[in-house]
Amino acid sequence: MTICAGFAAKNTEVDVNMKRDLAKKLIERYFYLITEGCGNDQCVNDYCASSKRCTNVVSANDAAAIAIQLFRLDARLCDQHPMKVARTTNNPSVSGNTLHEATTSLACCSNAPDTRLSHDASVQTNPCTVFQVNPIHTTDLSRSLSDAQITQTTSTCSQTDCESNSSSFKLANTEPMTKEHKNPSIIPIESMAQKQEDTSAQVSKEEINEDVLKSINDQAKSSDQNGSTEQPIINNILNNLDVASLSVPDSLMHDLQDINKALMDSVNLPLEQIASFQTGIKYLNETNVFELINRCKGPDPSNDHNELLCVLYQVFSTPEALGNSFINRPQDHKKDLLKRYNLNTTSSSSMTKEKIREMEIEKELDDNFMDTENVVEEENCERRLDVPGLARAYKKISSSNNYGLYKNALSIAISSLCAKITVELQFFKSKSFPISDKYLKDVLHSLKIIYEIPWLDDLVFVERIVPRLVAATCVLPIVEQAKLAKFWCEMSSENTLRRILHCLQEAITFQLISTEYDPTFQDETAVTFATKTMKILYYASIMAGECDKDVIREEIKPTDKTEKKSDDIRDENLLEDILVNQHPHSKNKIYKTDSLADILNINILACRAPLIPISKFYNELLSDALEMDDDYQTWRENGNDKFSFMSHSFILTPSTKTLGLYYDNRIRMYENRRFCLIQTLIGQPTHPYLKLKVRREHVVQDALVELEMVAMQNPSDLKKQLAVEFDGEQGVDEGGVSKEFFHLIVEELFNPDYGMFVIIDSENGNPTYWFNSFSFETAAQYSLIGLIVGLAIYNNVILNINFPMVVYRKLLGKQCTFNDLQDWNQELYNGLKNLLDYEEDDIEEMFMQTFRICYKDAFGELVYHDLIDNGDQITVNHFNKREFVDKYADFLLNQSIGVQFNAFYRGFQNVMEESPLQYLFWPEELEQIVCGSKVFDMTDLEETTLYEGGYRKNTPVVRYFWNFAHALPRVSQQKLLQFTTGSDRVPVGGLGKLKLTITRNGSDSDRLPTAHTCFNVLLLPEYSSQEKLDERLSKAINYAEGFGMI
Amino acid sequence: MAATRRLQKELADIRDSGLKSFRDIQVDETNILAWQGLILPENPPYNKGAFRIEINFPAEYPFKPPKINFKTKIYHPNIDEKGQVCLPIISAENWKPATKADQVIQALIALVNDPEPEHPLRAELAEEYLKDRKKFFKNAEDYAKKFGEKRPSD
Repeated sequence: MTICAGFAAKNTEVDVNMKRDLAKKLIERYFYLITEGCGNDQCVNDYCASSKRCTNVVSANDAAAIAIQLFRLDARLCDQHPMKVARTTNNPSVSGNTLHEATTSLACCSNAPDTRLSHDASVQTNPCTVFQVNPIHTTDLSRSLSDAQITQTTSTCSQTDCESNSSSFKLANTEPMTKEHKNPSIIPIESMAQKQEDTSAQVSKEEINEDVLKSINDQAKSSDQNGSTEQPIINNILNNLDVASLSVPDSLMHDLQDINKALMDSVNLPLEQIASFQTGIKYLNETNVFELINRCKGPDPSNDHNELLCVLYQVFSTPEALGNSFINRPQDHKKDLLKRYNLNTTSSSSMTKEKIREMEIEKELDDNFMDTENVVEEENCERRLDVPGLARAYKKISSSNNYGLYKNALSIAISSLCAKITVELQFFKSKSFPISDKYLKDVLHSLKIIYEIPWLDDLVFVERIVPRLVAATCVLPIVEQAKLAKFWCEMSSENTLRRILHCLQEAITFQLISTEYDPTFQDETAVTFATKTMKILYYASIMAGECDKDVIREEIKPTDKTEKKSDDIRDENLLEDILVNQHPHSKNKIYKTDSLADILNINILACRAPLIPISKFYNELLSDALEMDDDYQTWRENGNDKFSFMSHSFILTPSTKTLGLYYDNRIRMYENRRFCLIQTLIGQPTHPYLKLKVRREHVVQDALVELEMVAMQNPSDLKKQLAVEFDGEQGVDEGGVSKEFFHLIVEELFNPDYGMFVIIDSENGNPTYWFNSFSFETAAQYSLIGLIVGLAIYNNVILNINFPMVVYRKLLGKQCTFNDLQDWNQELYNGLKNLLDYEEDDIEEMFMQTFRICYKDAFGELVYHDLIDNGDQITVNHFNKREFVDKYADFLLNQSIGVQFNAFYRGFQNVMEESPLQYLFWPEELEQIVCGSKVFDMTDLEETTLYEGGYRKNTPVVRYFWNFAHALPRVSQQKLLQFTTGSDRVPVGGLGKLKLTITRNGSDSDRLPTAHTCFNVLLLPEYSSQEKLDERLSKAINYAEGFGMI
Repeated sequence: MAATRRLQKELADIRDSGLKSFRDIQVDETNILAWQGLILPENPPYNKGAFRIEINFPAEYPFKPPKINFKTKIYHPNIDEKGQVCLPIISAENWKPATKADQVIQALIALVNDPEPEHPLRAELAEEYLKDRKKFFKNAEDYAKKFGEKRPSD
């Protein structure tokens, strides 16, 4: 890199030549190192052919390519081998001139129609053109080097398509290219292009091979001075090519011809013409897109229109060109403005083509000048995409007259680009070539540009182009994928991300519908690629979402023994002790994190709310069609190495994920049972079930004793299937009895009179349970509840408990912060938020708040607590208000219930610790599996509703209301509930517990219905008809949703 | 007591200001979170009586809003039979910790003086208020005389 940068600087030619010679020598040495070795049998250099480590026989062209890479990497060289050193110096034919020719020709073979590249000799040493940098012209080496060039050719050929390969054949022509593309000296190129005509749009192997043969023949003809190309080498290339083309997923290939044909029909220009159309434009940015489009309105519309079409096609079909497009440069901006100004002034006076041409040239010169300045910088830092500019350009394109045409041209170009990228990257991968940074940057930049397309979720696009686009995305090395995720997270708008997501979902759905049902569609590449791409998006959404700052998971300390001993009532907490002692071993051993997440340093638990709601990632069709047992098997056996939807669980609906958890549970249960069988055979009979025998009247005590025994004698029994027997009853537990057991025990333990839990937030009709920090119960009781919740999940039983979300967050390992206060106690959260937002200077007088806080205990007594030492003496002000709020929340959510929650958590963890629970679920989803999906039983609600103000059950408007309410989709019912009660959560015991009141609010009028959320009262004017009620009420509930509750 | 420091001050301020429409403020020395007082509306029909209210401040005050209850029966569209009142300024959604108790009381008095039939708690009263103002006034006055406390003379 540094050497290249050195070249890029404006050195004198002599200087450049000297450095080139040096480089040549080095590359040459690497080449011989690879092909022949240093001769020392004991050599330990990995690259040296003499060493034992390098067993592969390398073809000459591969060797040349690798040599250049090694040169770039500054790899190790063996001690000089006398025979092989520095042939270059012995060869008189090496002169600056020939070298220059060679390099120029090599640069030309970079099919990037990039003005800058072809203009500036220094760019030829740019690392981007790995295969082109070889300024070597010696007889021996040049042969293999030309092979390397051919490899390059083949890979560009195998780019499969209609793309303007003509330029890649320019390498046959040693004439230096000039920027005058209309220079007649390039006739061979055009003839090449013509030869290509028939095959241009094809991908199939034979045709590629033909292409290659043709090109090789040409090569042979025109490079006679380089010596003859040898047959074995051609074979070699063909072999490589096979690999490359074979590794292209079939699904990408099968409909390519169709696509192109269909699209070509709409573009009335023959593709060859487009491909060979010569323009001066080597990359696009906002300015020149605008210019081109404006020019379409000029005196010669058809021609200019073609020009735009061709430019679009050419730029969008080559990663190198697209990689240079829409780059954000500060200087660029200024010039753009100037340019536009010029354009505006001249366009009014009918602009002639010459003038534009002049401007074009001027501009190119400008660009070149600027680029030379920027080269170094640009190579070092990431290229920045000019997102707003790109958006404007896309908008301009889509608002122009020939919108459809351009779209099609772009589609063809993109599909070929993606196929090209896929093939090339896979080819490199299969040969384990190092891939140049520049190329990757180009590819990444191109993909960024493509994903920004505003019509990405058009049906045609989704059907035809997206499968190839996602394939190209997935062959990117993981680091580049991470960069893409970062880009999406930082630069793209939420709308763009949603559009991409929508488009991926459509693509998956389309693929599922259009292909025959196949239970093993883990292998359906288009679906898996789209899913993998979705993963990138998912991570981007998480990163862009709301995150907690410090989320280092607080390891639950194995013991608080000192604390416990001090409590003298705690002598019966055997269960507690046992659970504590066996807890720490084996933690999350199988479920390692995803490597992409690792690179991005994502901690899903840190994320509070992703930018795009998790439910948007569910694909129901896929979730339904998926054979979860197969998928689970794949996942369990291979972890993240092989594709499974379990490792991309964001795409699965909670119910499907629950199924995954279910299989996990079952498999572990059966494993336990099998073990039992073996034990039985060897004479140590144990029960295959976790058997509990309890008395109905003493459920809690009996369960506690029994579970304590189990935990003490054989803790792994807890993971067996539960079988409950009530004393004196004959029911055999096939699930029903344990359900009853859970129901009873939960009812008792959660009863506020029992004293373990308190009810909070009961004012607005949605009471939730919270740990009673003043409980007299032992920690063992809380462990029991944890165990019960764990067992319930494990045994697939739904519990009738209503914890605030905070509890589920904590169960998934999160430390709770101020933000969690919101769903714990909205009122308090609002008040504290207000304190944070308070800007006035009189904060101290206004709030008169110190670090001593006050709360009521379970008996209604006031309790004071100092958040910091001497809290009473320290007033809350602007500087410490954040600290105050954080400490306040931490006290309420963590510290005050620490003992109780830790015991609860340990009990839970005891059952769940090896399950993929944490890996699969979000807190919201965990709640759903614990409590079941909240059933919106409107009949329940109707039965308990009271009427006031003259309304009765059968008043017409009341009937209208219920007709309306029952007919609503689930989501809207939730909104209706939110509107009338201020909460969309179903209270424990169902909607019937809400006690809704419907009150008459005047006779028929146009007024909207209103509600008193404090008392669950709905004020309903006596609307005259069903239609009117429907209209008014839907307006009301949607309006309330749209503006949200303050 | 730290949490009640502000409340102490507010109480002192209200007592000092000598509000005409809110008097006879009684606060239990052991529990400053519960206030009682008489409101004296100025507008008819409620100017015929005094109404005892109870203000309950939560332990987390001022981060949580106080609650208001009428101890005296009142014939009012916005106050229900149990004495509950829906006052926007102290609703969970609108509450601002910077709001002082005297502002709450002022808002309450304003609501009593000028009923808001658009957001009734007792819809039948609201309808009567809108349709037959005379009848409503008469009923309200009767109620005030029957259940209301005596207005202090000064």
